[in-house]
This record gives sequence, C-alpha cells and structure tokens, in this order.
Amino acid sequence: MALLEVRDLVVEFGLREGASMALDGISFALEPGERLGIVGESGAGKSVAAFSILNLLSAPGYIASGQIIFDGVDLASLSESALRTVRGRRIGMIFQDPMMTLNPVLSIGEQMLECLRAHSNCSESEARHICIERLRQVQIPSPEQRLRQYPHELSGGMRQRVIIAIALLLDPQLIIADEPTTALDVTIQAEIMQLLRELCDNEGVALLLITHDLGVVAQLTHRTMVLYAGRVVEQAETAALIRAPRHPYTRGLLDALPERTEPGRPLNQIPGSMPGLQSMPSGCAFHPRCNLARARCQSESPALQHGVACWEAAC
Amino acid sequence: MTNFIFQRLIQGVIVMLVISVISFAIQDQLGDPLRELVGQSVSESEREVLREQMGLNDPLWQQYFRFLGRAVQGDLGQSYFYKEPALDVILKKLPATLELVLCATLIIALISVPAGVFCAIKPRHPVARAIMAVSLVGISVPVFLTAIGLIYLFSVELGWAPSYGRGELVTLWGGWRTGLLTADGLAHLILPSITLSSIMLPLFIRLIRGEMLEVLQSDYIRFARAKGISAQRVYFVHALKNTLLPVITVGGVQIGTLVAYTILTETVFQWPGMGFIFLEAVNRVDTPLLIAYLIVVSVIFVITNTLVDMIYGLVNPTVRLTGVK
Amino acid sequence: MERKTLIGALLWGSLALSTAHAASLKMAYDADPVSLDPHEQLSGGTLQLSHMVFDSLVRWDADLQFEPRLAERWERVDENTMRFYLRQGVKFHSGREMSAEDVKWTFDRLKESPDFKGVFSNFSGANVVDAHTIDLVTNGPFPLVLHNATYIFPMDREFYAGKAEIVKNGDSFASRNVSGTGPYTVTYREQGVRVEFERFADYWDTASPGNVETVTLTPIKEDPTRVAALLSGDVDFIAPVAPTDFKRIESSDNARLVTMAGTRVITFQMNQNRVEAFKDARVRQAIAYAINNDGIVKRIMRGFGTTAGQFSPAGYLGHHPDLVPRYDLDKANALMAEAGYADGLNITMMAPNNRYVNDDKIAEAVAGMLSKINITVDLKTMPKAQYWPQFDARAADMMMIGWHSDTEDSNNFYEFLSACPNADTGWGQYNSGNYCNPEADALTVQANAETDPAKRQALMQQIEKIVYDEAGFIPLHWQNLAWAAGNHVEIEPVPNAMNFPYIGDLVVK
Repeated sequence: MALLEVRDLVVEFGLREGASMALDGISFALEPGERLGIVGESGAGKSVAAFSILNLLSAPGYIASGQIIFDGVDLASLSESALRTVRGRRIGMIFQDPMMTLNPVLSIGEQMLECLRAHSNCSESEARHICIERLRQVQIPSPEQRLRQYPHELSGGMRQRVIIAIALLLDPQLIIADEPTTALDVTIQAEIMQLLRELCDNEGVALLLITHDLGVVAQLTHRTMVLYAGRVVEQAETAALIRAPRHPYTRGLLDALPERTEPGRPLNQIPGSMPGLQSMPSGCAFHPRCNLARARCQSESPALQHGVACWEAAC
Repeated sequence: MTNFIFQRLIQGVIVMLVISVISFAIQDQLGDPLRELVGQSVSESEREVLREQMGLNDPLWQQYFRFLGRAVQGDLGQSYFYKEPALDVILKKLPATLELVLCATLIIALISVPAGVFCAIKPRHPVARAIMAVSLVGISVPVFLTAIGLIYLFSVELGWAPSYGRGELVTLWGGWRTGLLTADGLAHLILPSITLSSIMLPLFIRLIRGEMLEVLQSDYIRFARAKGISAQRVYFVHALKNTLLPVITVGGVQIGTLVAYTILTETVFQWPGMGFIFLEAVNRVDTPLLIAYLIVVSVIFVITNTLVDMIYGLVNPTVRLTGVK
Repeated sequence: MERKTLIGALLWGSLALSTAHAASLKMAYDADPVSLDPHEQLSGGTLQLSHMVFDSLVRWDADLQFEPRLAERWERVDENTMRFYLRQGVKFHSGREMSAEDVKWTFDRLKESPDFKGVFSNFSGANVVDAHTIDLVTNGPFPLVLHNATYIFPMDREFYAGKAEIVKNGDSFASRNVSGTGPYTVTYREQGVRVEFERFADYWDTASPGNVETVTLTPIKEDPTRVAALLSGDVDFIAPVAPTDFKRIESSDNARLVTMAGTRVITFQMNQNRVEAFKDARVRQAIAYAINNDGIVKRIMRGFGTTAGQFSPAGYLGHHPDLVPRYDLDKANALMAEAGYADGLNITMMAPNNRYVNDDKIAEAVAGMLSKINITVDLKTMPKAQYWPQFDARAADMMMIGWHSDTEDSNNFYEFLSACPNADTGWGQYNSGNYCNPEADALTVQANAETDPAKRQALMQQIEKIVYDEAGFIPLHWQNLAWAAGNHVEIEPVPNAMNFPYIGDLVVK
C-alpha cells in the first residue's frame, strides 16, 4: 500500500473576485521510503501542494475537494487536533529559508525540545539526549552548546541542518521538503542534499521534495512529477524523465538549462510565461506557449495518461 | 555597558541644558508673576521695588547664568508661590505622579495584551470587533471629558469611588508618601489611573494586534504549527514574544510621555502631583517652578528611554546593547 | 423611684449630648490660603481665612451694616479720632488675653504691609488709651474708619514677637504659624492640599450658633470636579459655583444652592489717547447705547449677574437709582452719525479669558454688538497672567476690567478707575481709558473728607452722574456670588456679599 496517496486534490484561493484554483485536481502516490520530486516554475502550485498535505495553507487558500490518504487515513478530513498528532511526528517538514523558519527569540534547544514534549512522554534529560544525538547525526559540531544558542548565531547551512534534525526528531515516516536548498550557498547546497539523501536511505524515510531545480531532483529523487499551472503534466522515473522527457513543457525546461546551451549562445527560453490563477487558458494550460499545439489542445484539457498529460505525447 | 550608561548621562545633561535655555528664553512671554503675588491696590512703585528685589529686571542672560551657577549645585531657584526651593516642591509631588503613572501602566499592560492578542487571533469575532470600535472612541474622546464622565458616573451617580484627591497616605522611608498601602489610597487611585490609561490603551491594543497579525504570517509560525505544537504554545510562546519586542520599544517611550499627560488628569482629579503643580505654575507665572518641572520631566524621559533600551537589549537575543547585530 | 431617676438621667444626658452635637465640615474652595499671615496679601482668600482664624474689630453683616465683634462699641472723639471700646476676656489661641496693645501692634503691622498700607494711608496712627480702649487717628476727617476697622484682625503680639516680618517671596514665621482670636485654630496645613481646623475651646463668642467642631478645607481647582465632590458627598460645602452647574445642584436631592448679588463690577474702558474718536463723548455714549446689558446677563451669564449702569452697586453710598443701562440701537447710530462717524471705526479690544465669569464670551458679545453701529472690533483674549502686563501697557483701544472695592466704599472705584491718572498720587492707576474730569476728582477729594453720610452720599451720587452722562466707561454688570452645600448644612445665613462666609457661625444638622 502506498504511504501517501493524493487523489484529485483541488485547492482554491477565495479571492474577492471569486475563487481561483491553485491546484486543479492533482493525483500522485508515494511508497514508503520512496523519494518523489515535484518540479515546476514559481506559481505552479508546488508549495501549495506541499502545505496542503498537512493543511498548513494560509488564508485565503483552502482544500476544496480531494483526498490525502496517508497510511490509510484521509488527512483532509481530520480535525485540527487529530492533524496535530500527525504533524511533526509522522510527517516532518523542512521549509525554504532557514533564517525565517526558526523563531529568532527562542533558543535552538527550546525549539527542538518543544517538539518532543508535544509528541512524546520522555523526560527532559531523555529529550535532551535525543536532540543532541540528532544534531550529531546532521553533522553539527558541539551539539550540546548548540542547544543554548540562538538561530542568529549559526550559519545558514547549520540552521538548515538543525531544521532537518527537528524534522527527524520523532522518526517520521515522511518528510516534506519545500525548496530546502534554494536559500543556501551553492557549496552548502551539495552538502545538504547529500545529508538528506543519506538520512532518508538510512532511516527509510520517504521524501517529498519540492523544487524548481532540475539538478536537485536528478541527484535526489527516484521519481519526479512536473506541475504546470496547478496540473500534473508529466510523471516518470527521474532518470527517464531527464533522459527522454515526453511533455513539451518538460522538454522546454530541460532545454532551457545552461548545460544544454552552447557557450556564447542565448538560453533556450520557453516563450511567454505561466498564466496567473485568474487567466487560465481553455483546454490545455500550456497550449499558448507550445509549439506543438493544435486545435484540440485549445478546447480540451488532456488527462494524465501513462504519466503524461498531452494530446501530442505520442510525437 | 558602562560606556552605554555614560553616553546616556551625557545625553541627559545636554537635554537638560537645552530645556533650561528654552524655558528661560520664553519666560517673558509667560506674564507678570507680580500680579499673583500682590493685591490689586498695590501701587506700581511698590511692585517695582519687589521686581527689583526678585532680580526680575536684570537682563535675561544675566538671570540665566545666575540660574546656571546655582543649578550645578542642585539649586533650581525658589518658587515664588511656595516660597521653597523649586526642586524640593517638584520632588515632593513626584511620588503622586509616579504612582499614578505606575497604576495606569499596569492597567494598560493587563488589558492591552489580552485584548490585542485576542483581536489578532480572532479578528472577526464580535468581541474583537467591539474592542476595535471602542478603542477608536477612546482615541477621539479628550481625556478631560473621560475624567469628568467617570467622576459623574462612578462617584456621583453610583458612589463607588471618591471624586478627587489622593486619600489616606502612608509615609515611607525617604519621605515617599504612598497611596498604595491603604484601602482609601487605592480607592482614590482607581478613577485617575483609568482616565490616564484611556489615553494610551487604544494605541497599545491596536499596536499589539497589528504586530501579532504580522507575526502570525511569518514562516516560523507556520513551521511551529508544522511541528504539531499546540495552538496555545504557538500563540503565547512563539508569537507573543516576537510581538512584544517592538511594543516594548514603542510602548516604553509612550509610557514616558504619560508623565506629560498627567497634567490634565491631575487637574481634574485635584491630584497633588507634578502635572497639577505645573499648570498652576503656568497660571501664576511661577517661573522657577516651571523650569524645575521641565527639567525634572526631561530627566525622566531620558531615564525612561535608557531603561527601555536596556530592557530591549536584554530581552531580544539578536541585539547587543551598543548596536544591532 | 430609682428607675425614674435613672431614666431621667438618661434623658438629661441625651439632651445634653444633642445640644452639644458637634459636627464636622468638609469644604472645598477653588484655592487654599496662600499663607497664614493675614497681612501678606490683600485678597479674598486671605480675608476668608482671617474670618475663620481671627476676628476683626467690626464686620459686615448681610445687609452691609457694621456688626460689633472685638470692638463692642465706638464713638467719634473728634473729627480725626474714633475711639473703640474693646470686648474684655477675649482669648487668643495661645491662651493670652487680648488687649489694646495687641490691636496697636496689629495696626502698625498693617501700615507696614505692602498690600494694606495703601488702604490705611489716611491713618496716622493708633493710640492705646487703656487696656481695653484704643483710638484710631486719621490725617483729617475720614469717613471710612469703620470700613477700615473691618480689616483689623488683632494678632497675638507676643506669639509673633521677633518673628513678625512680612515676606512676599520668602518664608516667614507668620506665613506658617498663627495665633488669633477666631473660632478655629489651624491644626494641620499642607499647602495646595489641605488645611484642617479645630474649634477653639475658649472662643469668646459663646452666642454664636455655630456648631462645627472640625473643618477640613481642600482646594479643588476645576469647577465640575468641585460640584461632583459635593454631589457625591465627598465634601459638604463649596464655593464658587459656576453658573453652568446651577441646574445640576438645584435638581439634586441632597444639595442646595445659595446665590446673592455681588459687588464686583465688570466694565470696559475706552482709551482716549489711542483712539481720537473716543475723546468725543457722543461716540462713548453711542457705545453705551449699543450694549445690551440685559442680553448679556440673561444669555451669557444665565441670569447670574445684575445689570449695571454705574460703578456702585445697590447698598453702597454712591449708588444712584436713576443710572441704569441704556440700550437703544437707534440712538446709538444717531449719536455716531452726529459725531461724524457714521462710516464707523476699526478698533482693537483685549480681555482676559480666565479671570472673570465668562469674560471672553462677554467680550465676544460686546464686539458683536459694536458691529451693529459700524465699529469693527479686532478682539484678543488671553489668560490673566498675560493680560495684566498688556493692561498696564494700555495695549488695546478697549480693555476689560472688573473691580471690587477693597474698602466696600464707592470712592475706591473713582480713585482707581475714573480719576485722572496721576503718577504722584497713584490715582487712576487702572484708568486705561485716560478719562479725566477734574470736577469729579474734586468731588472725590471732598467725599474723602466728609464724615456726614448724607452729605457724602450726595457728593458720590453726583460723581456717578457725571461719569454716566459723559459715558466715561462702559459698565456691564455686577457678578453674582454662589455657594452650594449639602442639605444638612444650613448655609443661608452664613455667606455675604463680600464672599466671607462666617464659618464660625455655621450650623450643621
């Protein structure tokens, strides 16, 4: 049985002009221990997808319909207090900007211990011990001292390690990481990615990795899902996706990579930009920018079949 | 730390000097103190004699340097009306004002924090809307009207509280006359402190609400929720501390200004504090008392601001006293 | 038999208790006494205190007649000398018995006091005849000896011996300590906060109906707070009462209001040196005809005043019954045209805003009335502290001034307000209009030496008529006085037109 199965998730934003859809019925599944990447441009709905799993959407967003089945239970139907037993304990989260993620006025120790206090009955000293162990695990030197320190006293990379440690504190089954390396230096990025990969392998933790960086998914994930304008346009094993993308959008993304361009020549941009929530085109959302678009693409929205949502996928 | 305090001391002295120069410069525009000291039938020649005796005919700069010379020895001149050293008169009345400000501050703190937090957490709740509406009224109604209104409602109609004065006092060591240790004194504190707090309460409620609303949007709040922390802890540990930090800065300075607002409140309640004395000194053109009051109040401002900065530095871990990290 | 005596004794005891019912009084004025020294300042507040802690030789009663107090009787020995026979067995608070020596000591001190010496300038000295008889001697015939005697509050000369200096802006023994013959001693005083009085056990006036044992006087500056304190029962007696609070007190079940015509006249003066047109009597008369005194008293003072056409209020010798306000707009315009000012004038006006009742509103009303006869007024009002220096500098064309006669006699008005300004004699000190009529001045001098009341009255009424006919100034009204007290305080007999409530005689139920 899949660890996490999302079925036809629709997330809307209740704006004054009327509701607009941020996620238009996406579906995917994740096996225990599997690492799934979700890629797309800004505004594609990646973070919305990540937050909606634990219902951490900020107003005016809300889950309109769909199911989020985690370990047999539909999270979308749970009450807030029930959901709290899942958060932090069975599903951990890692956010994008480590400086903004940690509370600047509370010590590292406070922010770690409170997690244990909320979910387990262990004593203070046991809890401290667990925290120190986890900090060591994420390769933070002198972990005992770190507990007393404040976030601003650590570097960006160290902070992100702390956050990873917090995510792992209660042995969760799944970690959702929303752009975990975007805000870090390039050199640190590699370290963090390596760390994540090792930890997930060793502990058998599933990982839902949201990113816009194709290089990151290439290194970290088993499978990858491409989102465009709130819809899944392609889903495949990562290696296959990168080697042979089938959706025009995915192809466009890969072609746009600097590595695929000859030195001295301009980058291969996909013409146009992703439509905003209010101005969704009819039919296939990508058709205005697609060089393979035909009449059918304008009127009918393609469903996801065999891992790709495109009328021209056969080409 | 010592460097910091030393800097503040210098600042304080400069502020006092500037205030004293300004007060001296405008003294001519305030009126003739002799009118209050002598009756209407006294001849002009008699008044001249008195004026000469009091040194009021000397050029202003001469009077100022005489004042300065005495001031460095702690003598700020003699009040024309009270016939005592002006500084002594002000300091005798200081406890009354400080106790009033203290009680008003307590009321503000005890009401604005819960109210502001509630309005931020449940902005559409009818109670929250009511609080915001009432606070608008509070900002608009002049404190004089609030005072009289409270007196008429609670003193005359209901008879629940006394209408004026400080009531029974107890003298502590050092001559501090306090109303906090007797039931009568506390009863007399109620209406004036409520009146004084009404000036700042709306500001603080809106400030805390605004700060809290903003804080609740931050990533670290979402992260705390993602960890499965209880809502109570998220609001009162994660959010509140961040909310209160700017409130300390803004609020601390406002509390200093409360000392100036006591003038009107003390006048209505016949509260024998510094503000009352100041208004009488203005009416009577008791210049030494005016200058002494202005200097004492400026010192209070400097002390309050310094304390606020120190407290902020202690409470906010990301800041060092001598500069922001 | 035994039971009857027991009951009888109980009845007797309770009767004795009820007649000796001692009460306490909490009173609130707008200010507390500046000093305990009766000679330090000539002001209403000082005199109110003097009547509580001291006694005068004679005092005014409610009908403005002289009531014997420490002087039992008096007689004129010769044209310059009045002999006073003093009451015997009168004790000071210190326990000493009062004698004529104390009266002389007090008199000499009054002559030294900067505030009182002017009032006593006509006296040459006091002579002790015997232990209970004293002569007051004047420089020539002086009709106001008894008026002045109301200011002589004998002080205990041995109590003050050696420490009797009068200090205005310093600290003196007399400003903080007191021993007089009055009904109350001062037991506690905190300046600006509270004065506590206790009834003097050996008070000489055993006929006084007053039964108040202890008095606490607190100043309450703000009018509404003072009234609220009365209505809530925090105080029992208040003065003054602002006209805006009258309705509230009258409609209250537990307080009562007493008002009385006062003797302070509110006037405007027209500066003839600044405005050429004011030299013409017709212009001044026109202004007098343009002012609706009745309207001001009715609408602005809410009836709390008595319209005035002259200086002297009813009850004063100089009061002339025919001299009444003359409101007639047509006449006013006609006079302006006759004087050649049909096109009007532009003038400046100044008035205080916190000295007299509704002073700034009155000034605004007057400015409005003058516009009806084409006089455009540029009005400035300001607090009294700034106003008086402006008044001294004669800084505006029309200026407001209210006056109360320190001697309770008409001549005081003329000497200060309408006499030709004379720096040597000090006459006309407050005559900012520079109105000058030598004939009126001559009559004033005559009246000052005329001891026959009938003749004196004729002289002073003549003065009033001259000033009235020439419209030397613009009279508005005499301010009324008001006091209020709880229903258990029988205040009606106690206040008087001078605003010295005789608290010693106050009865509380």
